[in-house]
Amino acid sequence: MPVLEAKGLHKVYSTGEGNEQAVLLDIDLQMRQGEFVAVMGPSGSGKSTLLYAVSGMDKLTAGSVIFNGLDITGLSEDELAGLRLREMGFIFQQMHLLKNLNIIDNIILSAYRAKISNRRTINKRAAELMERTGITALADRDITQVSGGQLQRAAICRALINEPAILLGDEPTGALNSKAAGEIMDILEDIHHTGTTILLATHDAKVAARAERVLYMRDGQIAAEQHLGPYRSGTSDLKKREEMLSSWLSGMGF
Amino acid sequence: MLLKIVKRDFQRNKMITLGLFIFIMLSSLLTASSAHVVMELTHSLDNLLVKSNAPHFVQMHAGPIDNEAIANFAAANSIVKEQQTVEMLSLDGSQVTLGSSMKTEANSVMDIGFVKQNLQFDFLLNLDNEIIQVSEGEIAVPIYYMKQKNLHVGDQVSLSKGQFQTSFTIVDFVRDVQMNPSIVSSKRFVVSDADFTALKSEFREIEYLIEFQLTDLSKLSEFHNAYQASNLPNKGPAIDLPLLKTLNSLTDGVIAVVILLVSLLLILIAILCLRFTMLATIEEDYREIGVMKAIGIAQPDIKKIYLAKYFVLAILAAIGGYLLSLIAMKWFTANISLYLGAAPNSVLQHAVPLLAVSLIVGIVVLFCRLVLRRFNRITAVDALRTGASPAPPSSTSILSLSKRRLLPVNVFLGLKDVYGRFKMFGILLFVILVGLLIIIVPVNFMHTLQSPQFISYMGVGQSDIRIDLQQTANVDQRFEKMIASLEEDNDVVKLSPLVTSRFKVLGSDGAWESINVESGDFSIFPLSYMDGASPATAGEIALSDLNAKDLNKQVGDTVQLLIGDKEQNLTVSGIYQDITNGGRTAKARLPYNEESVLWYVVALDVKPGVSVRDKMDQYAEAFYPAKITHLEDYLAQTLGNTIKQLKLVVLLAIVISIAIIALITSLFLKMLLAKDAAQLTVMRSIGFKNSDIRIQYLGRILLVSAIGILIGILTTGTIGQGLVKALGSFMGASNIQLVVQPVTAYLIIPAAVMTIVAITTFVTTLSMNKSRIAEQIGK
Repeated sequence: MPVLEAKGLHKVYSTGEGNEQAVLLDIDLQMRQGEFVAVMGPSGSGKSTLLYAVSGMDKLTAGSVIFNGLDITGLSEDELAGLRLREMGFIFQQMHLLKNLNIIDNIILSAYRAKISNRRTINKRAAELMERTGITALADRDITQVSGGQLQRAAICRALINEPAILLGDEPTGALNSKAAGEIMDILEDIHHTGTTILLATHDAKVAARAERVLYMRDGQIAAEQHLGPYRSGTSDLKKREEMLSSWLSGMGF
Repeated sequence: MLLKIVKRDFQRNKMITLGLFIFIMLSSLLTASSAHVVMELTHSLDNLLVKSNAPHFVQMHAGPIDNEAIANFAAANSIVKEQQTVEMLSLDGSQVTLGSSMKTEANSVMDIGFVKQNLQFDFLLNLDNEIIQVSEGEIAVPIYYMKQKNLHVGDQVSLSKGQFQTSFTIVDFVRDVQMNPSIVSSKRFVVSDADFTALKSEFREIEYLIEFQLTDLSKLSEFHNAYQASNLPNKGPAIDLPLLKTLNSLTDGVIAVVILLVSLLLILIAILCLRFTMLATIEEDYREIGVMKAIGIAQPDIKKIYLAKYFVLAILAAIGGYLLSLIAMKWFTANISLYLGAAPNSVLQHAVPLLAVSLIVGIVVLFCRLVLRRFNRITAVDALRTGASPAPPSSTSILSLSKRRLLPVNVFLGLKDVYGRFKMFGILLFVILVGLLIIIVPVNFMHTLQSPQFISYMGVGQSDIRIDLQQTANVDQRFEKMIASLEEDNDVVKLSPLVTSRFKVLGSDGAWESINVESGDFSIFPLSYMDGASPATAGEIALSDLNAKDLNKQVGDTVQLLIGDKEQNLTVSGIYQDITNGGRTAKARLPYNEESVLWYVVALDVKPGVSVRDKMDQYAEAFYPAKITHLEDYLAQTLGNTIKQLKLVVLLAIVISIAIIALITSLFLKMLLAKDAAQLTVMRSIGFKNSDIRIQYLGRILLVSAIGILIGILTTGTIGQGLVKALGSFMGASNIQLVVQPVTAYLIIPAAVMTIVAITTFVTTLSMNKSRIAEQIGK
């Protein structure tokens, strides 16, 4: 059974005076458990909208999203919030951490709210995640006292604290320099290898090259799909995957 | 262009704009109303003094009188302009029946006096401020009774004494510059000269009002001393023009002060309210302001757009408030119009409230300008990039969630936010505190006036029954007989006979002045003393607050008294408060001279289970013509009018305060929600429900209001007390202790305020931004 199945996703925005603009047009998408899929495409092609739509953060004009066998399109706001809390992790381009909490509190917040286990266990898991992402020393820091890369690591910890069934990322490296972006991708790749399903929207071929499958979106539709196969650092040649992807993308006019 | 932007802004923030409008209108209404009350009070009182041709000095006297000596004194004193001696027939309440009432006025605390119209001055006026003229068989009744007994023209007033019976038809009501206020315990009924002569032969008790008008009012106290130093009749209280003015303006003066205080607090809150609204608007428009700056619109022009909106709003609201005050004016000044009469309209009467309202507009505009200085700090780049004002730096690790084992997440987030942004939340806290004070202080003040303890500010100890015996024939013998009879009464548990006589005291200026001293054992029904204690020996004296101030004496100081022909030094043992007899009294254990006795009083308590009413009836019959008073009735009848007026103000204060608290809480929350929009979206994106967020805000607001309420309750003890003392000193008791009903003040009112805050928070957060997270994150 696929983790995520989207059927006929359709999203239209009203631009006023009776005019409408379609941002998603009959999109079908399936993701199996543990799969890593990247979505690429030019600005305005609908990448982010697709991510928000499948996570229940945006309302669809038509179509359905089946998540772990449950049709989430008919769920209420509160039910969707509960689903995001326990079963989905989201990483944003601008990190979006809460300003009045320090790093550790930002990470544990949703776990404390979800009450998935006792607070001691949650703190332990947060410590493990921070160690894995290399930010243990920053636990008590204010979010204004750390770099963008470190913030994004904290955002990844937050997204993973409840051990979600899927991790969604909207340009997670978009606001970072190339070194920090590389480090973040190493972490995501690592997480993927532990069995986490990942759906990522990105502009960057270097990021997408680590995915097993790349979808190319244009004008609200999936124009093409490229299977790159599993990637494992050390054994696979990332450079080669990047070149292959780039030439495919240029063939698509990207 | 400007109008278009302002119009769009009105449409966008309809509710907030309307709320603010109502709020400024309310402050304008109250400010204008209190200005109206003050103007009306001053004008009406002045008008009444002129129309009635008020006396400047009045000596009341019961007993034989030497008119020739008085005329000689007046002729010899160059500052005396006019002099007249008014005869007033004293009737016992049991002899008088008013209107259709089946009961006599036996239980009334008022001394009933019958007079004829005066010829020279001190005219008794009707409701149109015209000099009353009544024919035979007709009577004009004091306004006090018109209100109390709901009397109408055409009703009857019946008099009976033994076999004698007569009745009069009410043709008018008396506006009496001397005895109008309910706090003055004598009332004058006006009958025709012929009826007066006829009544005089039946009711022989005559009290004299020896009245003077002076050519130079600045020499009033000099004249007062000169009169008291002479051997002229003086068995009774003396009053002068300033005291007349104070007594007449007491009730409405207190009301005006309370309204003014409420409106001052309102203006303060209106400004805060404006600040919330403006900050919320600036917050919402942050990006647009950035765009305007970026495309080169000059800062003063951008400011003008915002200023225009609030200027228009303030002007319209102020006009609305002023117009409403013209309607409400009748309501607020009804008491003044009734007791003091309406003064002819003057420009000033309308100009002052208008000026007060203009001042509000000025304050609003000035404050807008101050808030708009914030624009200087907005840079186009920042506004365009972040779309929100930069958050102040806060330390996030002081309260850490990871270290809390039990605290629910939503509660933690609420608490942490209040801690982190306390300065901002402090504004709401202040408003709730003030809102609470606006309710609690007047409520407590009203409770204080209504409480039985208030009697101690009237210079009287707290007892069940008080018996007053004024000057009559053989009064000393009657008094002794009464005491003997009471001492034998098994129903009486405590008894304290007190005799008031007039002595001379050495004033602070070295001149001898008159002083009324009540003698007896003051330990039986103790007064509450501001300082010190009751006189324990014959060498001690307790002074009323005003007397102590006049004589410039404190506890432990020595007062020189002329007793008989001998000078005697008395030590001040205590200072107490007294709002009766102009607030100038004293208490001591002096041997009294029957010649100088003014009146006798007996205070007594009956055994538990004995009916006070039955006892009063029994004593009224046995000790006729002594006046028997139930002390609670005394308070109700003398302060009843003030309490009634105050109730109106309290009701208004409650309504206004609730409106303020609800409105400000709502505006504050709206501002907060606009400010926190981005953070809330993040929270929703990671799985927090709207209900979670609502709980967080409820937690924040309730915590802030709880602190506000707590401080409010503690403050009532200081600010409230100070306020009551200020109002009290206006009445002659500068140290009134606030009487607090704990259940009302500490439970019901705070709980009501909390409930209003909670409901407002809940309702306001219902309209929380429900837009899709995707749209918000994308911004």
